[in-house]
Amino acid sequence: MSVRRLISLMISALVLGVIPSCFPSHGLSVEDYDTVLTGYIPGTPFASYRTFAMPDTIIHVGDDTDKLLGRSYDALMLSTIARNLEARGFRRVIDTLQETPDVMVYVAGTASSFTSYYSSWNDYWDDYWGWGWGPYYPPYWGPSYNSLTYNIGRINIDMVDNGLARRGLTNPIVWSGSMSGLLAGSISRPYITTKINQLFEQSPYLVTGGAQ
Amino acid sequence: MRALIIACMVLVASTQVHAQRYFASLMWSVATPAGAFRSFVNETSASGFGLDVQWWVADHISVGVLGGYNMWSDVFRDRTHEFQSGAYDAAINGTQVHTVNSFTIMAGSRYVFGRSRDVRPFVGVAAGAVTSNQVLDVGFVEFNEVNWHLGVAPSVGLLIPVSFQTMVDLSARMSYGFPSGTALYDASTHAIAFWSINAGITFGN
Repeated sequence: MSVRRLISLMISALVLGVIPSCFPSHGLSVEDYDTVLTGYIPGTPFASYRTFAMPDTIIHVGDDTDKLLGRSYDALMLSTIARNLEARGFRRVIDTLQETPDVMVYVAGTASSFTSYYSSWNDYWDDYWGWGWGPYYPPYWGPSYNSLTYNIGRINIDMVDNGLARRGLTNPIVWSGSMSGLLAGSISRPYITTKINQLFEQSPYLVTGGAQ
Repeated sequence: MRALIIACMVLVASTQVHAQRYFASLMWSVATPAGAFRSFVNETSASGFGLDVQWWVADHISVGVLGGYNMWSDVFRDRTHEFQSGAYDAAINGTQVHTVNSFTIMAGSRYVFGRSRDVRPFVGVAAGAVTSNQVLDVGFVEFNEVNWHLGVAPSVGLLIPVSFQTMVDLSARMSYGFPSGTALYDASTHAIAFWSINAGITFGN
């Protein structure tokens, strides 16, 4: 047997037998696709901020958002965000006509549905053997096509500096956070609270020099 | 480094002269990461294989080329990854799936003790390239870092004769790829290192 033939044989065995079995499935659940994302502009003088104001409404962006997100958890989300900011030294300004806050905090939600289409040979065989000759007689020699619809939701929190020019900043959004994931599985009040708390836990720089 | 390159060239050139006697091993590889790299994928993986083709250049010495593939994948829940995104310093938290694909392409040599038809221990060394493809998936976001590393891989093993032209090849190898590129884990440099146990069948004489 020549070297070339031997190596070809071995590589063929690898490609056919070993490589397809190499990629593990970790059995991830719906919740495993949830993420908490934060970002800030380096150099932002967070310690100089004292006050914030936040509208008492979560802005819904997009046509599907009202239907998919609903408003069951709006009050919980807003109060949890406010509580976290206050725990970090911010004082909430309620009447912005009387007092201009250092930063505005806006909360928005968006949700969308996505549909993906995929072909499947397995379904064909399952149905074929499972239901006898009924639904697919005469046999259909081709793949079946299926669709999967999933909903993705996101809550965005933006912190906007009110004294942008005074502080020499060029980008008004000095801190931003978002929670996103599949709108399925078990969404609960503790779950939402945990995720919002995580936004602040991974933003240790977000501390004022003290409320006044 | 110059000595390493010259040694590789000598090994490869010598195969031209003694190409009539060879053996080729197809191996299944079980590998476990080592060093700081272990903080990215902390699992022993059986997803690996290798191919080693050696030509005899003396009674006990063979030289050749080896190729290999190893893959690790690990899950870490509630982890935060920091990164740069435009003007922002960002962090993302969630369930992270870490995957590393690594290919090895090296020239190497073995010193095989004993005589033909005996169980023959050997020591080997190889040098060449190791690739690492670090992938960090979190939610629907993916971070990817592909690097080539200069690498070395010493090994010890046994050739166990089964028939006239067939042997079982058992070996333990330490593969090390010198630092290159950026680590997607908490390390200042990214060096890939892993131990592997390789078991396979050898054809040739």
